[in-house]
Amino acid sequence: MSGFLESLLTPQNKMLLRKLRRNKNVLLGGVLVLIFIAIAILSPIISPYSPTSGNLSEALRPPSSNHPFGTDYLGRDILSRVIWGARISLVVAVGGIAISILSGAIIGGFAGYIGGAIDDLTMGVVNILLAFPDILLALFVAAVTGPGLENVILAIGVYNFPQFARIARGAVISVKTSDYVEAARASGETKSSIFFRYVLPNSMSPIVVHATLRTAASILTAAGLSFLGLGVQPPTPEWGAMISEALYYLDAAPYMWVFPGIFLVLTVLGFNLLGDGLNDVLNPRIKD
Amino acid sequence: MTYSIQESRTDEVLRISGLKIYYKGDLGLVKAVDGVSLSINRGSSLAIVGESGSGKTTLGHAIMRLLPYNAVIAGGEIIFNGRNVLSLSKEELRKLRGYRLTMVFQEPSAALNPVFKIGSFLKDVLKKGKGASMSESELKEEMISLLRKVRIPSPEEVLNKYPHELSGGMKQRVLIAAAIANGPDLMIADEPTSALDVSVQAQILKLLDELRAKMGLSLIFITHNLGVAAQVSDQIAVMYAGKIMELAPTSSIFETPKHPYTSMLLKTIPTIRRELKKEGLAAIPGSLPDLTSPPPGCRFHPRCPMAMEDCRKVDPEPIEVEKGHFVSCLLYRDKA
Repeated sequence: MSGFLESLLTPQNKMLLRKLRRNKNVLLGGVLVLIFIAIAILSPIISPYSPTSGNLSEALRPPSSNHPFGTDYLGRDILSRVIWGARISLVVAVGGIAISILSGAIIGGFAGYIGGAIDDLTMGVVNILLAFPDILLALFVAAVTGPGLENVILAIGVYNFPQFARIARGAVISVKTSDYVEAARASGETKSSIFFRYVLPNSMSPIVVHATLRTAASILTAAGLSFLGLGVQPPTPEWGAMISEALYYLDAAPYMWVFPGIFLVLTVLGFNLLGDGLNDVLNPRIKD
Repeated sequence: MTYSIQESRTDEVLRISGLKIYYKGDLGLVKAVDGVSLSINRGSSLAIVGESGSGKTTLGHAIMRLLPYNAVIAGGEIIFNGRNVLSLSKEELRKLRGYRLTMVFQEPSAALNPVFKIGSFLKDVLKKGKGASMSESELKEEMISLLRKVRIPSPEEVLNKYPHELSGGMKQRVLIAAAIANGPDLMIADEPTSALDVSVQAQILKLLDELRAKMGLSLIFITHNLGVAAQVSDQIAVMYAGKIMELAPTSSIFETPKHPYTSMLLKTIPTIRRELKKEGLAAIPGSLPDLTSPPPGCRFHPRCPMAMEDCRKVDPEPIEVEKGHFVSCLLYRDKA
């Protein structure tokens, strides 16, 4: 393992690491994202109560030493629900982004690689999709497929797809004219091998940057869908759904929406800062 | 009319005749290669020399059939090992490339996929040819011996490195190792030393020459530098504006150049002696003609100090002035 890690520490990677560490956005965003991921992974261990069952006799209690974030209208511990909510958000965001990267990189990358009529056609469809406000796309998919965790993931995937397709296409077009692709052709590599082994891996860095930026938007959109009742269904602890449930208790029990709201904001902020920072560091066109 | 250096053609690896390659451009067809014929024998080496835009790279890429989408093959044939490359199917072509027919590129840093280690790159190349049925350990041994052949120190370590960890000269050696891995018949080297500094350049040239002699490999060396051509080639073809102006054994090109263009090109090589005499650097006046509408007659006549009336009208055919020395110039038409 240590050998593997050492092999990663090439001079170039060391320089990259130094640049990453110097970038305040990366640092702050990275810390927030790490905390979020840690909470999501450790939620069964660190949550003091069950997120889904509550004690009705303890409903709507303000924050106390027993329930640091208070309890909701069914007497469930809000801290535990917020902690489990991180897990749901992570699953939705990672799953949705994974779908959009896979479909976007392969379809968009393929279009850019082939070019010609296939490219025009694919990009025509992508442009039509891009013309809709993206939240509308997500709403459309969620409305057609119905509520549920899997469907939210699908909706997030579709909602991000057109952007990833465009970015992958652009990256592939710039890579496919490079000398090593020509050298691969000259050494008789097959078209599919050139695409999957030469072109795609070298087109990944703009896609990775965009993925971190879109994670923030995806978490927000998933929460939005749940808030509107189109997403993850109760009693699943989802931040958007929690805020939605708090609507009837806006002034009576503000802790019901304040805490999930704060976590949502901090998580989105973290991913945005990290994405911007990565963009600064990885994007060769931006020089300091 | 085809150039041929030796009488016996049994050992001919490549024969190009009447090759015409045009590019479709906004202003019409660009006649990048316009009626080129040449042949090369097993184990010998030919340098194609010319200015930028003379069509030498297009010619080299055409042999691999690595032409851009807007290129049109307007005529001629490229016979490699008895088969016309221009009429092969994509599948047949793919099997030829990297196996019997290989290429080394100008910019070694750009020609290696940055995400592969040298080892996995070479393994890929070997698996297409003689390494197809080798075990992992045999493959590794073969790779190490390949890297030894191209004089790479501590080959075991290099196999585990990424391209960016190697110097330009080392990368070019790796690319040459890949090009010779499957024992090809013909290697096309497109300005393989232009991106390297002079001392590394000399090592690479020496290496190529050694490998050619040892492996019975034929070599086509594309360069703009006559000095480089002299070091690696048996014959030199001087190209200008899509045509071969003169083709001769390397020593004849330098000692008894026939074509006015060749002579002028030789004078442009900077030498210490000329520097000391403060003669300055000779230059050929004018510039390459517009290849969408090349000048009628001989393409060099607008820049040629010896141009005659006929040069504007007659496109000169290659004439064998001495054995193996062909020149396309009307000055020699009496000798035909």
